Order: sequence, then structure tokens, then C-alpha cells
Amino acid sequence: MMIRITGIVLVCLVATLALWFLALRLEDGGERRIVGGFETIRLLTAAGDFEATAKIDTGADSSSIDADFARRIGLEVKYSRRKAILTSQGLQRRPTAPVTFLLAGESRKSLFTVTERGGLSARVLIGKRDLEGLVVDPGREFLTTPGSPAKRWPITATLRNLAARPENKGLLIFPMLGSLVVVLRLVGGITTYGIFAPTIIAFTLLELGIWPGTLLYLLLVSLGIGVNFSLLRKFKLPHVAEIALLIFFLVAALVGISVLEQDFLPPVSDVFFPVVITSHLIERATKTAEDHRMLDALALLFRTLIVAILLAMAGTFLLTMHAATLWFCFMASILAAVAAGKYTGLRLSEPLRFRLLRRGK
Amino acid sequence: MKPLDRFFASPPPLGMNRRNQLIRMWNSNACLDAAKDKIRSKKLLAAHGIAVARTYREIGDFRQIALIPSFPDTFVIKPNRGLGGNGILVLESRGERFVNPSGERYGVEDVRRHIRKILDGEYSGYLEADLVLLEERLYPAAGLKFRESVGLPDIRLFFYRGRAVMAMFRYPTRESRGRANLNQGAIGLGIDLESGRITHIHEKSQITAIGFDLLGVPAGFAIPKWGEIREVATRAAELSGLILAGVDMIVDDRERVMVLEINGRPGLEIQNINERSLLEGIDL
Repeated sequence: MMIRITGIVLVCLVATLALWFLALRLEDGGERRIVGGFETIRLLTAAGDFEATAKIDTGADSSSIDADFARRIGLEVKYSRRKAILTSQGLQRRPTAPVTFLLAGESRKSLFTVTERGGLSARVLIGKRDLEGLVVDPGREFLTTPGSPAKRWPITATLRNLAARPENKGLLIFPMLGSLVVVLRLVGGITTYGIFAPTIIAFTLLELGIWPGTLLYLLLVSLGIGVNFSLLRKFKLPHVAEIALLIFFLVAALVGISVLEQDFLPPVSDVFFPVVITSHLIERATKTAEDHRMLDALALLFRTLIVAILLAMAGTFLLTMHAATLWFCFMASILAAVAAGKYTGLRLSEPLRFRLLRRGK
Repeated sequence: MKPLDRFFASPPPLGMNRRNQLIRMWNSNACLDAAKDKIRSKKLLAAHGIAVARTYREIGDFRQIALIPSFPDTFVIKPNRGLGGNGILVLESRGERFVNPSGERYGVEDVRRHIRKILDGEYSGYLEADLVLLEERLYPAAGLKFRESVGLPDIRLFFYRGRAVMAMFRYPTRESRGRANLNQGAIGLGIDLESGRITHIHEKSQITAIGFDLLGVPAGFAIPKWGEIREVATRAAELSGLILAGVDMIVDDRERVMVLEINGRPGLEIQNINERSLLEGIDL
């Protein structure tokens, strides 16, 4: 037994060290690089690598490249995929070219628009969309070198890019919060309504802000239980029909609130999961109250909400993290879930539950 | 020794994580499934000469309800694979209608609706379709009735590797709505395994000392037919194939020692009732 525990601990330790190493590699250049008004970039095309001077322009959305130059270095210009661009000369429809380029030691993929830049100061212009993660100091020039693609691990760049975008961060954070629920249950002894309910509620809280979100949630759930008890149960419908009606009610309530508070209603895809899970939660609470006691139902709801708030706090913290640290936590939380699953000792709540058996009682 | 163990005298109580690990390790899914299936496990027990509640009828299809010629005078409706005693309805015929022991009235329509809910799987978890069991209503032996008597009390024996390691008597109250379920407010009484004597009384898992006067349990009271109860429960546990098992027993008003149910995921509250750890005297 002892040997097995030591083994697990050792594996965890080695894995953590390996991850830390990977995280450090990721972190290299993790602090924001500064670029000037003009930088040298390297374009990677089918015909080879080409260096070019690029104007860094935070006033433009997308990047563009001179048509002649693009043809010379072998970029594939797509006239069929034109893009409407609002320029200082009015609306233009420009052909586009998919481009891979190196800027400040980092490889980026983008869709450049192709235009006549013959008389202009640089044949390439880099717009906001391709400047993510960089800081621009327009008073200075040529602060970085493009770097070479061979030295980098492509996987490192991918991992970093994946974690850098806010919407991807949410994707990474979701399973991490799930494993936190597992740890809270198996080690802390805090049982909730499933592991998805608190995680999904936590995301709603992140969206709306923790305290306004909590208030809204309490309001919706108590209204829902009230409606379910006083109205829906009277119809004596089958389970599935009841849940469907609850979803109607919740959506109606959300729309009602958004009438009062114009900006409140989040995009439909964002309310999808919370609405479904909340209707189940209400249904379950009503059933628990009927089969057992109201107190049990409220206790379960309360614990689920408390855990959701804890998760939302953790989520807020995780969202502020650098890509590397976030990936490190991602891996570490897999280990945490495994370790919690392997933990066979008493849960933190159990000294209280079994207080009658306590020493010296 | 694990960190939280230091709160307890040795050995510490059996915790949920450890219990679940033991269940994963020892109780095969086939045996867990079979134990949950009341119809199947009752047939198995009856085939080995163990007394169980009589089955009046099995209903697997909503249309069959209409075919039931008449309901018995008094009977129990159970979901075949119900969890934690949910969905059980005890009814008595009063002419065209029914009443449950708490005096709530049920019309024929209400009974049908309840049966439909069971068939739809509302009580068997994850909305799996279920069977309905119409069963004989059991009454406790006079020797198992005390001051307040609602519903059917039961005797739970906790088995590990074929040996009873702890036992308790669960006494339903008005608050538990006649159910012998501790977290619903039934009173738990610790039983001495050797003698069948009541050692502790707990209400809602809160200590009320050894206040035998609470229920009117006479001092030194021992469960009647204790030896037989233990022996029958041991055979039932063996038949179930479960290594970790909770066997629920009753002595009914016709003095029959009967098995009510076998549970492959027995609860741990029994430790609080007996103020003793399940790990005492167990070789894991």
C-alpha cells in the first residue's frame, strides 16, 4: 500500500516537473513584446522565405500586401474570396491571400488583403488583427527580428495561441472547473447536483458578474420552484413535459428581465445550457422536497450554488493567467482529478458527520 | 494513517471514499444489478426457502392496469428498481377509493398516475423504464411496536465478506412519513450483534443518550427472534453474491422472519447509530 502511494506521489511529482518545464518553454517570450512603427517580417510561402519591411498600423483592422510583391514571392492570391474593406478612399472589395508569417519571433497565420502598395512606404501592412499579444511603440522602429521557424516548436506556438484568445480560455477552463467539483466532492465532501450543474452555473456567473449573476440565479430558481409547486404540479404532468414547461418559463423570465434591463440578455447560445440545467435543477429540487424534506432540497441547491460561486471565483482568476500558466493548470487539474479519484481517506466533512465517534467524546 | 484519521480513536470510521472503493473492488455489477431488481431477488430468495413479501402482480406496461380485475384490500405499490425507498405507496381500499397510512386519500386515477410515473422511470434514476410491483402489505410483530407506531420498522444488518459486522433497528415516525429512512427522520437504534439487545437510540442521527423511554423501549430490550434474523440475513447476503451488503429484515405479525431488501451500496450512518466504526473487527 505504502509503495503504491509513494509511486503515485512520485508519478505526480515527475509529471508536474515535466509540465513546469513545458510551461517555462511556453513562457519564453510570454511577456508582451514591444514592436515599433516598422518591423522586419518573414513571409513563408511555397516558394521559400522572404523578408520584408512591414508597417505596423493599429489604425487598420486587417493586414494587406502589395499585389506585385505577393505574386513575386509566390503567394496564392484568391480573387474568388474577395473581402469588403472600408478604407480612407471608401469601400473596396479586395482579393485575399492566406499568409503565414513570422513577426517578433512568432509564427502567425492570417488572411491578407491584396492591394496596390507600390508608392507606399512598405509593401506589407500589419493590422490590429495580426498584432494580438504585442505592444506597439509607434515612435520607434525595427525593435525585433522575425526569427526563424525552425527554432520554434510549432506545437508550442499552437498551445500558446489556443490559450491566448479569451473564448478559447473558456474552453480550457471548463474541464478545469469540472475537476475542481470532483475534488470538492471526493476530498471536501461537498456534494452538489451533479458535476455539470455547478460548472455551467459558474460560467453564467462569469458572464454576468459573480454577485449580479448569483442574485439572478437565486431569483430564477426560487421563482421556478414556486411555479413548479404552485402551478405545474397541479397539472400532474409526466416528468419530461414538466421540464419542457419549466424551460418555457425560464426563457420567458429571462426575456421579461431583459425588458427591464436592455443590455442584460446574453446571446442565445450562452443561455442555452444554463436554462436546461436550471430547469433540471428546479425539477430535482421539487422532487427532493416531495420525497424527502424541503430542507434537503434547499441544502442541495445551496451547496450547488456555493460551489458554483467558488468555481466562478477560480474561473475569474484563471482567465487572468498567461497562456503558459493556464496550460500548466490545465494539466495539473487532470492530475488533481485522478488524485481525488484515488483518494480513499476520509472526506473533510466526515469528522463532522461522524462526530459521535470522535476521540475523547 | 491518513491525515483526518487523527480526529478519531483507532480505527477511524469507514468513509464514503473507502466504501465506494470497496464496492468497486468487491461488488460485481451483475450482483449489484440483481440486488436492485426486487422481483428477481425475491424469486431467488423464495427459491431458497427464505420468506419474502408476496407479489400480487407485476406490471410492465401501462395497458395492464386496466386489466387488473380488482385491487386487494390493502397492498403496497413499489418501483421494481426504486432508489432509497422512493416511490413506495402503501394503500388500503375504502370502497372506490384508497387511503395511505397517514390518511391521505387516493382515487383510482391517482393510483394509475403513480403507476405510470414508476413505469416512466421517475423513481429508478436516469429515467430508465421500470416495472411496478404490487405487493403484500406487511405488519410488524407486536414485539417490534412501541409508543408511536407508523409504517414498517426494519432491521438492517451490515455484511462484509459474508459476516454481519454491525446492525441497527430503524423505527419510522410521523416525521419520516412512515418510512424507515434515517435521513428522513426515522429513529435509529443500535443493536448488539451477539445478544440482539438495543444499545443506543438516535433520532435524526442526533444523540439522545440511551433514552429508552423516548419510544417506550423497555430497558434491556432485545429484538425478538434475533438468532433466526441473523441466520436468515446471512444466507440472503450469501445468495446475493455481494461482499459488501446491507440486508433489511423484519419479523412480521405472523412471526415470519422475512427479508425486505438487499442493498449493494449500504449507507454508513449505521456507524453513528452504534457509535462505533465499521472498521472495528474488519480485516480489509
